Amino acid sequence: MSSDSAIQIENLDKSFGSTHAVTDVSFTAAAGRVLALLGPNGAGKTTTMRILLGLVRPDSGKALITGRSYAEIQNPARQIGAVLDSGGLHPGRTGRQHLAITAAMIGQGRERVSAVLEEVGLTDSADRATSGYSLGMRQRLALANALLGEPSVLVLDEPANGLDPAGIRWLRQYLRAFATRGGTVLISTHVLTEVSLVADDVVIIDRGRSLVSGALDQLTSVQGHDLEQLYLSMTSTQSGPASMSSPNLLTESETLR
Amino acid sequence: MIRAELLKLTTTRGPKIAVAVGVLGVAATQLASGWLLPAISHVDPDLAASVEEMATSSPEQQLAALNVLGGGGALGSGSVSIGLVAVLLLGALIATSDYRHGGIVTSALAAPQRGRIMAAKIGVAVLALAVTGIAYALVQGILVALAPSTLGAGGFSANWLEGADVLGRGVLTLLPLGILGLAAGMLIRSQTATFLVLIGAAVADVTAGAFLALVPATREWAGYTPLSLVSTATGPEGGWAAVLALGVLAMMALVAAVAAWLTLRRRDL
Repeated sequence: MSSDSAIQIENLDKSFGSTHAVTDVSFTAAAGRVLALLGPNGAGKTTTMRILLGLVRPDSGKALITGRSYAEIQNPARQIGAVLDSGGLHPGRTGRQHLAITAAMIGQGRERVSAVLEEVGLTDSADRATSGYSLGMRQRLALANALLGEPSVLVLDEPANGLDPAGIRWLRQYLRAFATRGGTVLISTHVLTEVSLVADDVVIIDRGRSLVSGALDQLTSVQGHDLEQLYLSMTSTQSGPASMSSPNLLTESETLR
Repeated sequence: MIRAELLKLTTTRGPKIAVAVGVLGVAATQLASGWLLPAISHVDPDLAASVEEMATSSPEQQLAALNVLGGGGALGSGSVSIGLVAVLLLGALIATSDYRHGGIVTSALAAPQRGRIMAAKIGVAVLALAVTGIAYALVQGILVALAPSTLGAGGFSANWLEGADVLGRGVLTLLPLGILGLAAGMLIRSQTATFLVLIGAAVADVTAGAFLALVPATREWAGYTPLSLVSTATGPEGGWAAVLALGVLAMMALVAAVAAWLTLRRRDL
């Protein structure tokens, strides 16, 4: 593992019954950078993130954060913030109550709850039941939940889902600033335009396999494609995974940095 | 983690409704046997015999009526009371609410070893069940003390210590029952399925107990079904039989809790 790899995924395999969710996925994410995990629905992005966060046991391989598995990290939510979906909210609780529960779990106080509510722009709606929240508000609350522990690593699964343009812009600026401060961001998304604006590195994953990874600017310049062309040529979202037979594309073993 | 689980419990309506239904159920059962039936006994002469049986005139009858899960001595033995079902469901709610609304993922992110999650849930369940049990005991005690047949016989005449013993054992018995509900919820995850399984198991227990009691060869075993153990643990006789029954119930709850913890530890979320 390189010394600056905050996240290391190595030869990860996971099957659910006869379904191979993840097959030999490997990549690393460096501190101070935003890594975007790209892939079509069912590609294995969420399973990879859940394994990284200790929610799913891999059949084989390693998923480490700062050299340790999630379960080995003391009070991990103080170091790693995660958004896995905008669910996980009891409709009868207020946004503030949800955050207070997480804060109690990780040893944070009420001041921090108020601070993250302010940070994500939910202060005015904090004392309303989440049953009345829009998808964007739920997503902001999920982000607030991830930020409660003042983490240095963020693992975000489709965090822009449901956000309005102002919210997306805020998220982009937040993630860039987070990485500039030395934080590590692993983000999965379908929104390629956002990736090109926020990510330093990309990993393209399809059918449970990581196909290519590297610095975004190098990948697109070496391939002579823009990100969309690269993504479509690598994944099975078109007529088929032409990627692996395409002679001028880099495979996982030819990772760029 | 316990504070977080307490917040979960107190910021939703489900557990409060379960406790309220349980307390009202205990009160309604006692009101029916102690007030309503005597008031209408003149309508049907056959009713008078039942009213006499459920009266709380003598110390023995008063102690029997103090069984918080029986709702009066004659209604109690091996039956499914509202108070008992409410306690099972309260335990189940503490477990399944997290699965239903995704809170278990937040908990697992905060405590990836997951043993703390289970321990906190059990701790909070014990606290909630103790509060519920005390509420049951207060309602039951007051209604028995103020029942017309108690007052008609000159007031509460049973030994106070024996009364406290019956009520105390009733409260203690709620703890393993609630933990069984909690463990079932952790194992099954689905709230609706857990409720159906628990209510089905309680009804099946009554049926199994009745069947075992009917067959001469198995009559001895009828006293070892969970509801019969509850009846023995909470009944007015007390003594070593009650302690043993309470111990067996506690062991059942412990085994169920360990099974739930092992499952939670290995489960993909």
